[in-house]
Order: sequence, then C-alpha cells, then structure tokens
Amino acid sequence: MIEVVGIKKRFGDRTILDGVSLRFEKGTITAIVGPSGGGKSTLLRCINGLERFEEGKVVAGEVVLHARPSGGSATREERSELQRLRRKVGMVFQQYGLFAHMTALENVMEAPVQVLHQSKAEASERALALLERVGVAHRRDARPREMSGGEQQRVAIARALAMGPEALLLDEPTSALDPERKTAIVALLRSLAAEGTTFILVCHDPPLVRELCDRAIELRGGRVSADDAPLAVFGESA
Amino acid sequence: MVFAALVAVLALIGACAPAKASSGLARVRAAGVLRWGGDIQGGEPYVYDDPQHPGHLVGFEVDVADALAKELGVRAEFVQADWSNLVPSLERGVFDVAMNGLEVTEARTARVAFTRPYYVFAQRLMARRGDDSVTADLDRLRGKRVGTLASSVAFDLLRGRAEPVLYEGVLEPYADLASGRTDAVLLDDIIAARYGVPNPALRVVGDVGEGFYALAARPADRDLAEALDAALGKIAERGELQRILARHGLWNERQGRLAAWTAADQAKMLGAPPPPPSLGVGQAMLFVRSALVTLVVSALAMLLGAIPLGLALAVGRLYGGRAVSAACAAYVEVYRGTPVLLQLYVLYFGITPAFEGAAGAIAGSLGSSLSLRVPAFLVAVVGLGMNYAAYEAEVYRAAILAVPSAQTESALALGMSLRLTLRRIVLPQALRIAIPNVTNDFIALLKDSSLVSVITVVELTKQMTITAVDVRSWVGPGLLCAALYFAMSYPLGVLARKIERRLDGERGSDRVMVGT
Repeated sequence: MIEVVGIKKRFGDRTILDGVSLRFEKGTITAIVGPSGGGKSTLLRCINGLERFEEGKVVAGEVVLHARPSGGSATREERSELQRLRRKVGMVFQQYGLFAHMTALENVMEAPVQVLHQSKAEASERALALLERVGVAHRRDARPREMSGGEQQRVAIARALAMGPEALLLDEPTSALDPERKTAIVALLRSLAAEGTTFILVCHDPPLVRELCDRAIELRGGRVSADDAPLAVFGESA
Repeated sequence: MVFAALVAVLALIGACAPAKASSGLARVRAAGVLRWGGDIQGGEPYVYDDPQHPGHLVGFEVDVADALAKELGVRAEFVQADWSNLVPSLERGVFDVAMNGLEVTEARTARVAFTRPYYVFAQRLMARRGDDSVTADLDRLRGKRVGTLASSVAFDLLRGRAEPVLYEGVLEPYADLASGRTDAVLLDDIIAARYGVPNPALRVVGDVGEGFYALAARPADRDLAEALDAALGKIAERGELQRILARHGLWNERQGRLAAWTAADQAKMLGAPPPPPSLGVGQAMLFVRSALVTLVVSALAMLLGAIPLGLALAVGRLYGGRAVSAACAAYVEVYRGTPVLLQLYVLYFGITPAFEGAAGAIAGSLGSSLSLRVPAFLVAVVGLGMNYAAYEAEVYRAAILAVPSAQTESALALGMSLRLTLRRIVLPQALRIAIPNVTNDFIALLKDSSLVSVITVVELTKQMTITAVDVRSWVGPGLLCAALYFAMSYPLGVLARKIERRLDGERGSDRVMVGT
C-alpha cells in the first residue's frame, strides 16, 4: 500500500501540486490522467523521491519520505530513507533509460548485484527469468541501441522488477508502441498485478486506461479533479 | 605529400631573406637614420628604460650607438626585437645592425659581418658560497650542472665538459644556483656583476675565458660594417668609448685593448670560421632523445595529471556542494584564463623553491639534513598536467551531460546511490564520449609541451633551436623537428578520427531506433 498525504510542490512561484492526497491499494492498477501541465509526471517523480516536495509525505509501508524545501542538501538519514523507498517503489521512464553500455541481461542484473549484493550467478538467473517473463529473453545479449522501443521498454520493466518492488510507477508506458505491443503490455501488467504488484501509471490513452486500469485519477491545476473507475472519469469524452 | 608542402614553405622562408647588393652605407646615409636592434628585456646596463623617464631609453649601448651614428652623420634609432632572434631579424632586414651584448661566436661569424668589439667581457664562473667543489677549471666541471644562456659562448665552452642547464633570462640562473638546483653559473661578467654578485649566497669562482661584444651587420652590407668599424676605432682612439664605458661602471683593464685594436686582433677574434657541421647521426640521436622527452612529459602530464584531475574537477563541478562546485569552476577559469607559460614560471621559480624550503625546514626540525630537490622534469609534468586538467574538466563535463538523464534517474530509481550511479553508469559512457576530444587535447599538449624549455627542460623544440645554431641553418633541424612532431601526432589523429567515426555510427543507429 502506497499513500500520498497532502503533497505540495512548487517550481519557483508556480504551484505544480497543490495538496494531493491519494491511497493506492496493493495489486491495483491506477492511471493518472489529465491535461499536460496538470502535475501527472511530477506526482510520479515525487512518489519515487526523484523530486522533492515542500509539504506532505509519501508513505510506503514502514518507510516515510517527508517534505523538504528544495535547495537544502539531504541528510544521511534522508538518503537512506530514499533508498529504502526506491527499493519498494520502482519506476520505468518514458525514454526507458536503459544503460547504453550494457546488454539487456546486464541492465537487469546491475542493481541487484550492486545494491542488493546478490552474487552474479544468482542475479543472472533471476534476470533471465524476468526477461523470460516479459518476453525478451531472446534479446538477453543485445545492447539497447540494437533493440526496438517495445523491447527496450520490456527490459526496463524487468530491470525494475528485479529489485522486487511492491509498486511500480510507469511514465507514459505505451506512447511509442503499436497496438499489438500494447496488448502484450496490458497482459503483462495484469498478470503482475494479479500477483500483488501495485501499478501507478501516467497515461494519455483513454481506451488503454479503460482496458487496463481499475481506477483513474484526473489531475488538473495540481489538484485531484476526478477519482473513479475509468469509465466514470472518461464518461462522455471517450 | 605533407612533407613536400613543408619543404615548399621552408624554401619560401629561405627565399625571403634579402639578397640586396646595394650599399648598406648609402642606404643609411640616404635615410639619415641608423636603425639598430636590441632587446630591452636584457636590461641594465645594455639598453633599458630610464627609471627616471619611462619611455626614454638609456644604457651604454645607447651611448655607443649615438656616438657611432654621429660619426656617420646620421641619428641612431632603436628597434626592439626578441634577443634570441636578433640575427634572424637582422637577416630579414628589420634593422641595419644588431647591437645588444651580441657575443662574437663561431656560429655567428659565419652568418653576419662583425665590427671590431666595443666591449671585452670575461666568462665569469659563480658557485654557492661554501661549495668548494667548483674551481675555475672548465675540465673539472664534469658532472656539474652549470646554468647559462642558449647560443652563448659559455654554452659552447660547457658542452662536452659540464652538464649545461639552459635559461632564457639572466635572473633565473642565479636564483636556481642559490637554491641548489644547479652547481654553478657561467655567464658574461656584466651579467654576473648585476645579477649574481649581489646575492650573498653566491661567490665568484673566477674567469675561465673572454669574449667580445661587437656590432653585426648583414654580410651584403659589408661597407656599412666597415664604416661602423672605422667609426668605432675613432671613438675608441679619442677616448670617447672609454668615457662611455666608465660612465656605466664598465671600464676595466681588459678594455684597454679596444683603443689599440689591430687587424691582427680582429682576425684572431673572428678566427677562421670552421665549416658548419652537417646534421649527422649524433645530432639525429639527440633529436630522437628530445622527442622522447616531449612524448614522456606529455604522456605523463595527460595520464597522471590532466585526466584524473580533470575528471575530479568535472564531477566536483556537476555534483559537488555549492562550495566544491564553485571551487572547481574557479580552478577551470583561472587555469584557462592565464598563459601556461606563466603558470610554469610561477610553479618552477616561485612555488617549487618555497615547497623545497618548507620540506627542508621540516626535515631540519626532525634533525635530518636531507634536502628535497624537485627536478625540472617533474615540475614540467605537474605544470602541464594542472593546466590541461582545466580543459579536460570541460571536456568531461560536456561528456557527462551528454549521457541521457533518463539513465541517471533510472539508476537512482533502482536504489543506486549517486556515487554508484556515477561510477557504474555515467562515467563509463562519458569517458567513451570524451575519447576523441581527449585525443585531440593530447595532440595539442604534445606541441604545447615545447613551453617547458623555459624551466630548463630540453625537449624537441629546444633541441631544434640549439642544433639550428650549431649547423647554421634552420632548414634541416626544422624539418627534422617537424617530422618528429608529425610522427608522434599523426597516428594519434588517425586514431581519434577512427574512434569518432565509430561513436558517431553508434549514435546514428540510436536515432534510427528511436524513430521506429
């Protein structure tokens, strides 16, 4: 369970998030929708601690990330709290961000070996199983530049899953995919959610939201303007 | 092909030397001006800015020039030129005669027409007070480091006997002698009196030879040289030269010969110029050795200095706290904003002696008499390394910024610390991106390393200037020097282009992939 409590975030004198409070239950898939500039991506980045916020907190189980004004530097406790949070909450970026100098397999193994100190053999075995799961095991030795966008995205998901997160944040996961690949991603996320992973995704694609998600949250001007089943939120517009 | 172009350029330079057959004396008389060349940097008592009237030149050579011009019925006009290029400037016709402590040497006798001397100087050997191992016997200087100026008679005397250490100024040889970097200094008595004798740590060992300052004209202007020679004879005979020298505190018993200078004296002074030695295997070996010095200084400066320090500066600037970031930025701006020549100078003549002194004081307080000597070679490596670190820092900073931020954020989102992210994700890619620029910088460094000759390191360019004087020509040594630089930098250039092409290819395919 992930909880966001009263988060306020400003860039200069512009308010991006204006007191957002939300709960995400285990095993659910939630879409965050709304006009651009509404704070969708910023909310995702705040939940993962990539963006600091001035007020409120993020709670993931026993880990609590508190507000800190931007500018100041993080204390040692804050940094360790951040790392604990990030182990519980993984993130997949719109541009995937695969490490360009590593193969698909090495991308997935990197954090388990370096952060969790798994042995290479163990990490490799798990990484291979995850690549199998997302359907790109045959590309294990390919480098990012040799892979298609869809393949890169699935490696990025496998990489995030390798850290065993309770929740996964996805920023516009289907923006660069053709319909066939979208279907494959929907199936993958559904099966992972069924096993207990919580998903929060930013999405611009109403049909996909209706097909994939249990819930849709609309952000407008930094506030939650709708929070319901996808059909209710998109009611007349789609 | 490149070589052919080089030959053509050098041939052109050679062709530019004036070969006028017209009378130099008639030209000077027609202009009403005798243009004489010297370097104010040589300082007192030759030609220097009058401290009482800045902009007004004084010195014994100014007085001699005025007296001679008056004899010819013209006025004298000083032309500033770099001392080490006085003869080439004379040959190019920048002025009519050169007169600035120009010693009559065998090498110069072959290139210019000398008048009779206007000053007889002694080769004065100086050593540290308390160091009795230096005696006024040139043959017993073997193994001693002796400071002097390049293309001086003293340098010719020292070669094959002692280990000459070459300077470009007159102050530094004595400073280095006092601080123990050298064992002795051999220079003209005028220079020794001004810059060596006042130093209480030094003593005069004795004189080991004598030499002459004379005016030099172009061989084509022989009539001008003869007219000046006659004029010099006249002012010496009637005691005017003695009065000038005495006024500047330069008169001594050696100068008595000037008034009674004979044709026999002149012939003896000029000697029979020996045929210039051609560029042989021995000199080629010296070139190869100095090329090795260039390569080793550059490689060490790059690998041990510029690359690691540049990397630290780039990371500090991008990821350090406010103070660290500002300090790194300041380092880059200061080192990029000041000449590397000045940096080497300050490091070698300013900071290093202070550092050695402090180390000696610490050793002394511990009851040890050990003294620390940092060799010039090491200072050259440190100085060039610190300078190039500023440029490398900017190269790495750009390369780090070129690694897509999605990768950095992905690593952080995976729970990797910033340090781990830098080490595992950012730097391996940034260093690859930086390779072509680093190679280019290394090629530039290879050539900039010629500047370390100002701190007495004899590298390829310095060797070229020394050999050029020996063989009386710049063409052979110049070509050899260019060929050696080219042989070192061309393969690197090819390598850089190859790597660049490969990296470009990779990025190109990246772009195609994103489009699909």
